[in-house]
Amino acid sequence: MTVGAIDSFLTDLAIALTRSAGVIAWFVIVSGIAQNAVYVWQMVVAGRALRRRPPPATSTPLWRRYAESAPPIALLAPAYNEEPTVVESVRSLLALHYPNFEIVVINDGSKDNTLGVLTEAFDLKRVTRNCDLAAPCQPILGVYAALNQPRLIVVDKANGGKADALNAGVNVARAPIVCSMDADSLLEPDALLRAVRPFIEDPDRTVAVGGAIRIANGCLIDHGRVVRVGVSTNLLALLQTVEYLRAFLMARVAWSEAGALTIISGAFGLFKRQGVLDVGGYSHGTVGEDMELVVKLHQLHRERGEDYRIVFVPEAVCWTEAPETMQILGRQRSRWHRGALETFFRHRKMVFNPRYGRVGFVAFGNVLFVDVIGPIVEAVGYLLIPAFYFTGLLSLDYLEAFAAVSFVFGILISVGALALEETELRRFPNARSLALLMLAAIIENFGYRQINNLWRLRGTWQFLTRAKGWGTMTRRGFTKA
Amino acid sequence: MLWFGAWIGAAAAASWMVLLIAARVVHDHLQVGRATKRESIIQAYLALMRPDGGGLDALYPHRRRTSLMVEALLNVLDVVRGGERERLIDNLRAFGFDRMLLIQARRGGQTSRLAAIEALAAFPGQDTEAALRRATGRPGAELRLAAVKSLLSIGARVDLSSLVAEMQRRRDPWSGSLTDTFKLLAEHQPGDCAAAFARTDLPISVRVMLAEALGDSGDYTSLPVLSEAAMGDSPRTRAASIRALGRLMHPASEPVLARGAVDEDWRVRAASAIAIGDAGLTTLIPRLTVQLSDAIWWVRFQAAEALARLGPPGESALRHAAMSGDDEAAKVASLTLVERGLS
Repeated sequence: MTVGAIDSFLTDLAIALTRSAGVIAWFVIVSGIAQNAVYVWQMVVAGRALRRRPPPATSTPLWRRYAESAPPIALLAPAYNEEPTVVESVRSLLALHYPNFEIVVINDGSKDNTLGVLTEAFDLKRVTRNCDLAAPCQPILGVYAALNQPRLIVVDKANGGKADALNAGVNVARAPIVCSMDADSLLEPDALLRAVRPFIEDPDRTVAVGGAIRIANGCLIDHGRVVRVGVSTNLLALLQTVEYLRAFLMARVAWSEAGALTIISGAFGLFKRQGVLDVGGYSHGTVGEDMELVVKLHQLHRERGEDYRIVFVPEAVCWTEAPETMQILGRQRSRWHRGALETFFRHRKMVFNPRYGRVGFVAFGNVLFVDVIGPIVEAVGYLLIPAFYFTGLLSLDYLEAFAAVSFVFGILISVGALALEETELRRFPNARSLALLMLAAIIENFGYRQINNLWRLRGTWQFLTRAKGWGTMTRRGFTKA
Repeated sequence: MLWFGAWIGAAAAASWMVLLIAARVVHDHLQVGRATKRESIIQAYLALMRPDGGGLDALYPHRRRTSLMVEALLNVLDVVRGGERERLIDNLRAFGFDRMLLIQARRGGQTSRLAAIEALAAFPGQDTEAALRRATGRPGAELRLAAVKSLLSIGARVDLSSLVAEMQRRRDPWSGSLTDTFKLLAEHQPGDCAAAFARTDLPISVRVMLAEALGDSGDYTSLPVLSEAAMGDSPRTRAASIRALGRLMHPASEPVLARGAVDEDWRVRAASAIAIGDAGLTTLIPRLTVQLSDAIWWVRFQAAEALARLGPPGESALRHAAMSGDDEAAKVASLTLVERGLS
């Protein structure tokens, strides 16, 4: 190759880069504006929804108004190797304030003594339970009950994973509403009464209801109950608290209002039992069985042309322990992302398909842009924009100004979520905890969001390479009173 | 331009944060006062319940805090009955609290109006009835429904057809909590409920709730309309009517329940099994025995449960099915016998 040819090639490359720099810059700007517009829409819709129907501060009026018409609920609590905590968790469930409920604990082939400690603590006896194995699950080895705790049923089954355990629970349950939860999560005493409201107020159309998940790190727990709400001093837990507020108080409320809610957290969701059976129960072979079930419900009802509702109730609260190490949090986030991708591609025929209405256009469109393409675009942006700067194609002033706008907007959105929490729910105990959360809302923009994107990219990679399994979720344990 | 936007955004975020924190500090301060006042009001109510009287002086400082007084009163009324409740209400009337409630029922936010309407149920009278009737015509489904319940609680008559028409006009959702209202109505005005139930132009969910209310009313005059609806077009109405007939436990419904046991819809067949068990109709044991082999598990299960509830003849049929029935019948029968400790 001659010197002239090399010169010509370099010139062409410089021209191409210059042209693409402009296109990429515009793409980044437009996608940033679009994403922020969605956040603003979520904030406005959520604010209006919460203001229109402020949740009662206490559950006393709810009990007075709804206790008589509240349908029976079966709480399904899958337990795998939960020996240290399962008894306390079940005791707290037994103390829930709800007129008519049963607790179905499913021992999913635990390798430890989960069943033994339950048997001992509640004086369980093996019983016969007439049930139909309509939802596919591993063999049920035994059903146990206690004379002194008529609300409690324990199912012992061969290991099959969370979806399999929940299917066993759905089979054994007899109540018309089933509530999925994690054995190590803590439901607020009035959570069921608050969450069941849409089933009472609109019984014909409501098929599923999701409750809010909140971070228990920093709270004081006594006998499986949050007795004092607090915020964690661990930075990761604090950042997740802000993240959860944004996700649950803004995003889910808004999607619920739009009739396009595609996820109800597996830690706390209520479903019509028959509806779950109609879609074949929880799906095996996915780490996102919660999202998968909700999407299957949407699909079924849309295909049948039925009028239905899948609703989110922000004031029904379940507390959970957030990971406090980067390693565990990273695994969790990659798994969640993998689950979202699995569901998206399993139901890809719904994307922009008019038959599925706003679920196909709005909800699946959002998953496509935010979960499927989003992490890749964001990563490309992080790589190319500095590269353009170093090659002189982007001015430092522009780069700084753009970064400043992005960060400030991120902070504004998080403060908006805190404002919703503060004006409508007000769960945090004092101004100090609010100030801490605001600090976290600022800090999360510098590093945490970017790392999160890396975890999501890892989730994409795991999805593409067909990685299986959940990874280890090590829990530190709640802070006891 | 971008920098300008960033600075504006930063200033907005900072101001928002400061405002929220300041509002919280003020709120916390007020909340401490509110809790103390609420406690003081409850103490005054407790004093008003005592036969020796007293407590009114303690209540006067709170006479402008109607919302707090109503909230405290509703909590107290939830747990107080008999003479103490009557003394409390009489003393509160003397205090003028019923008039305060009448004002609160038409003013302020939805939460406080709703609480006032609920509390008015404890203060029967012409003014209360008039105020509650006015509330039944106002916007807000929850408010209207609460007003209807309060009207029924004070013994006032409610025009069911107007209520339903108003709900239809306003496109209110047919809340399941209407069942309570309908049950109260069926208790006092069973004829109106039966007439409304007979209307096929009403939404199915309303007719289902009315059927449930009629079933609990114990009023046999609704037997004809329920029997007719048990053969209607909608499976949900058929099932609800059959369940109601079962709860009424009248032997005249036997042919209807027998027909329901072979209905084409599994929900109706299951309802029929439940109803036969509820009504104690041992003459229909052969129908239940056939249902033990139904294609749908829920029907088989309900048939077995019904047989177990029918006493010795039913148990005997279950034992027979467990030994000599087909696979499904034998399985459900034997499991039911074991589960109920009858094996």
